Amino acid sequence: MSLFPEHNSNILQFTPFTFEPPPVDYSQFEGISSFPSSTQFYEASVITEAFLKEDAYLGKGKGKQVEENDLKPETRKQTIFLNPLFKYDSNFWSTSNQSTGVKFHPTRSKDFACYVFGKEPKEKVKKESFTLDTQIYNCSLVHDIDSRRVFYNEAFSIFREAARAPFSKEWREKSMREKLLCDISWNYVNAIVNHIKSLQEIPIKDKQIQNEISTFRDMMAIWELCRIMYFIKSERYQRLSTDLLTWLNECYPLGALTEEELNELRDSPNLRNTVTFWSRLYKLILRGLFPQAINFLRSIIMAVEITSDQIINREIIINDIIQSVIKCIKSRPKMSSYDTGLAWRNWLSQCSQLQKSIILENKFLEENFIMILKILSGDPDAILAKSSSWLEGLVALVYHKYPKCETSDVRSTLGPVFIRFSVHPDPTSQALKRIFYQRIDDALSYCKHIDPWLLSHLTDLLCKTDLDETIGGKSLLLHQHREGYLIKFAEPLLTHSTLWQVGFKYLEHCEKFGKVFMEEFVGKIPFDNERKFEKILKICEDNGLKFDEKCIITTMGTKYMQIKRYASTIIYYMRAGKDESLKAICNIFLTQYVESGKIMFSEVLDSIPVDKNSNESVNFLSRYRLYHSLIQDEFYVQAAQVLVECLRSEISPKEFWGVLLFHTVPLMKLGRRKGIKLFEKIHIDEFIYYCSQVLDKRIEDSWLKLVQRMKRWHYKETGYFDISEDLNPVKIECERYKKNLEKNHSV
Amino acid sequence: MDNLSSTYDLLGLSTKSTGGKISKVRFDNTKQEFESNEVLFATGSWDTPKENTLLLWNVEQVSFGLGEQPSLTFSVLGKTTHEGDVTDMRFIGDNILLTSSSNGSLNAFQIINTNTSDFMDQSVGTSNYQLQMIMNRRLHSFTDTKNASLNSFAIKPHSINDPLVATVGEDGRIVIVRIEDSVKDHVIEDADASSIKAILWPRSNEIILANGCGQLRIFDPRENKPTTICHDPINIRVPINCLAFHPSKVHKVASGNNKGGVTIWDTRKLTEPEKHAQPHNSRVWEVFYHPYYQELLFSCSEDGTIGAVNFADFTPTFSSQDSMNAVKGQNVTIRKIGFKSNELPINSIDYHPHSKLLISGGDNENLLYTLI
Repeated sequence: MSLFPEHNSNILQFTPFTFEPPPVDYSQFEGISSFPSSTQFYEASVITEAFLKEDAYLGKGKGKQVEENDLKPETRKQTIFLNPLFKYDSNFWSTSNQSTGVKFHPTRSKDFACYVFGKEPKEKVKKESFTLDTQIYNCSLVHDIDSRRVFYNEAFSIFREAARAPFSKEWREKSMREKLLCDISWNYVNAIVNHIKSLQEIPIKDKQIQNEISTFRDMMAIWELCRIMYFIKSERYQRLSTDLLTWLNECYPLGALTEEELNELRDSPNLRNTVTFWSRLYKLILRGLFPQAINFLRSIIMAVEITSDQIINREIIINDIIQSVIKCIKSRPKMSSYDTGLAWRNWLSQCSQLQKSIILENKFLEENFIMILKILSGDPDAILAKSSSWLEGLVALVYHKYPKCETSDVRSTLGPVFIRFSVHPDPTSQALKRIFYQRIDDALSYCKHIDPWLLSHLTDLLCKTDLDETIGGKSLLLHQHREGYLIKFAEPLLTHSTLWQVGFKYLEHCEKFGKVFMEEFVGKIPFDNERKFEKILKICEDNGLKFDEKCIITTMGTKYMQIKRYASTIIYYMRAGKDESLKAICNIFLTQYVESGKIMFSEVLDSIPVDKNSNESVNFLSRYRLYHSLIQDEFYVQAAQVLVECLRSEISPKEFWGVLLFHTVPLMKLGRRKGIKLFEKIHIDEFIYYCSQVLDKRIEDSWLKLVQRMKRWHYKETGYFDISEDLNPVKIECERYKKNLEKNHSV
Repeated sequence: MDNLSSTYDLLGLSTKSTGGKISKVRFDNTKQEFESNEVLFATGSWDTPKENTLLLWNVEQVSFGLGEQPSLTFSVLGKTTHEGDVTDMRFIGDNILLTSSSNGSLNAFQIINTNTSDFMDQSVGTSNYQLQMIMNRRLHSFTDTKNASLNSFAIKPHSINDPLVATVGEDGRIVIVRIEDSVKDHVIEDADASSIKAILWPRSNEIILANGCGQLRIFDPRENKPTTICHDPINIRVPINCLAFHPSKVHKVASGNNKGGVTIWDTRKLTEPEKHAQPHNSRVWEVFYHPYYQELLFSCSEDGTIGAVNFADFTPTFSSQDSMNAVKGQNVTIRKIGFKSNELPINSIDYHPHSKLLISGGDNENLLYTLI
């Protein structure tokens, strides 16, 4: 490497000063689609994910057909507003010649570029030309991550807890793990509930927030059902039916009475004969809301005096029946683990007897009372007849007919339910159905269409259970898909301005491909101060991303290089191991000395502690500066030693060896004059050798330039007598010093 | 400190909004209200693309009985936006909050209690307090168009009535300003050729800097050149991120470095550090001494934990192989405090001695606290 290269050296690669991620390379997108023109916004149709991946096209007309075995999810339309607004320049564009185009990212199906293009009007151009507009928008169909920041942070801490669950198959640790996973799933639900509450507190709820609340409610329902069906094990023996009932009432609560119904009840002269009353009562019974049901029943008890009046007696009988039903409800066994089957059978027997004993003149009343008792007894026809949805019917059937059933028994109850009811094609309903069928992998495929968070975290948690047995003859592929789902969820976080750290933490839990994605994204995180730089670096250090670590450190060093903050540059280049770049910086300083005769890098080196492990170029500069300091302080012996070290290191460019050789001249003269042995004979021989190296034809031009520059500022007072291109002053002095040494030796 | 349990656990405090990732937490120690159960503190955020947030908090302790852990209630009293990351923060007298920014500016905010004041301002505020910016001065930059982060500031001792503030940043300069004046008092242009990370002003004639090359530099504020430059031979060229001075011994300084180590220095003899410990395995962002148990040093780190190092039992050992490593500490008690599931860095900690509350903030956007 020469001090005076003829062309610009490529050793120091300058990078742009700003560190925003590079713009998307739109050339990777295929072709151009033409669409109806729009000046302000463009409508996007979201059909299916598979469709979005395979063909980057939006709108009507074109597109591949996707075959699906299950019912297709609903087609949703979504309006994407371009921000900032597209500026329509009427001087340049003509509305009839303007189009908008959309292209999806090749690997991220939810991200796309929207751009406006078109032709200039023919009358304005000489020949047909095609001009692309510069307004290109980066758009995303992913929900707004910012509004979920608190939720994602909370969920991540729970995710970390789950990651620590022990994997041992030992029964003791296994039960501990099950309890831990149960707690973790509960914590996830709490996080979802907290987010719903925070959304509900927003005073103005636009459509986006309403959709978000709806999505989270769906997520809560699915998650809670999974918790009941998969995460609660032996501790919850015989309580599945109760848990399902609680789940139904929390996630799909019985709505309030409508205005019409309330009016009907208020205006009714006799509630006993009101259809709405009994409909409501059935719902309360089905859903196990017994306190409210008992209140309802009490409200139709009429106060009567005991007389011989026949009508009054009928009322008394009805009141007695009501009280009996209430008693029957209250005495229903709780079916905890210590309740035996005998208690249940006894109670059923009571219900049956009561049922048979109800004979009333008012057949409407009689039928309703009997129906209530049938529901309580678990009559499937009665239960399903009075249920308004498959969920209600299913849960009521389990609760009333099979209160002691386990999760594996639930499947057998589903037949009658689905004969009577159909399931809505929306993803949530389909997922719930499949969870009941214990086809969790099918359920998860529907969760894809609900939210990537749900899919990834649910899969992750399920992978930590013992759900690895084959179900329904189909082996679960949870473990294979877990990582893919996590990466898909985490990917948008990696480019988020604040959640990028959380994103990378998720990738740390993806053993196969996490590192690949880290390598792709870590270098794109923008930073403009050292603190953030150190945090990005930590990600590289924690995950063994050595190459990226070096690149990022180099970028930081180059940033300082551009503003001539050399101390910081050197420190970062040393961290990155950029020896060649450090050599180039070393040469810059040496060139400055050659130009001016001054050591300009003193303050820089003051900031850089050096030791034996430091970079050799930096060490050389340090030693060279030390030489000048020693000369200044008249420590000539030490200065001579340092000078010899500098020459021997051979770190500086060859032409600079000549400068070092010039430094030897005054020292040799001093040594001769004062009789101080500053150099050994071997040193002198080395000086002669180095002279021949400097005068090598290959560096002749550089050497001549150097000498010319030095001649501009050298003074006799500094000790530089004749600086000559042929190094004769050095050679002559070497000969003299050698003779002096020999003379002293012989004496 | 004998009763520092080895199983302390930080309690997680999930708040609805902490304004983002927390870069600084600071108690308002300017008021000595021994009878009050209310404590004020502020948090500053970082890494929010448009504007970061300053929040003024109140924490109230409610004791239920003898022997019971008091319950803590946190509430946000005031809020304002902050341009750039909050890199340092401190309450000074007259209800002023001083902050420094990654855009190179020093800012002062007046804390106005709107309950007692007639001041009707439309600036951002919630609840009872407003934070109104009264000073914004850009002091550090690399070029006219490129800002340099203002990393830290220190206030000259005994200048609280007319605070004199020394600021340092990535541009290697020291800028000394008065809050009241708009004219810069004194600028030391080439205080350091590298980035300056932290500053202390323990005595009127002594400023201590820590830089990104692992050096400590001592300046006389009236001079342009350092009087002393030193570094830790064990951690050569390891950046020092933070400094703290001893509550009673002004010559004792603690530092935290990029490798997770904390070092105690004696400024009277800076040839080598006095004590050393390794409470963390990653960057130490802040250190401070316990105000009463003065051999106890707290630190927070990129590794997501808080360290408590008790140097009381420190005994230096000498390695026979390398006599330079004379400060390898033995018998240094290190306790770790962390929130069980937190992996994200903790950027700042502060301690309120009267309420015994240790509070921290980090990149998980939550406040974490414990009582010590």
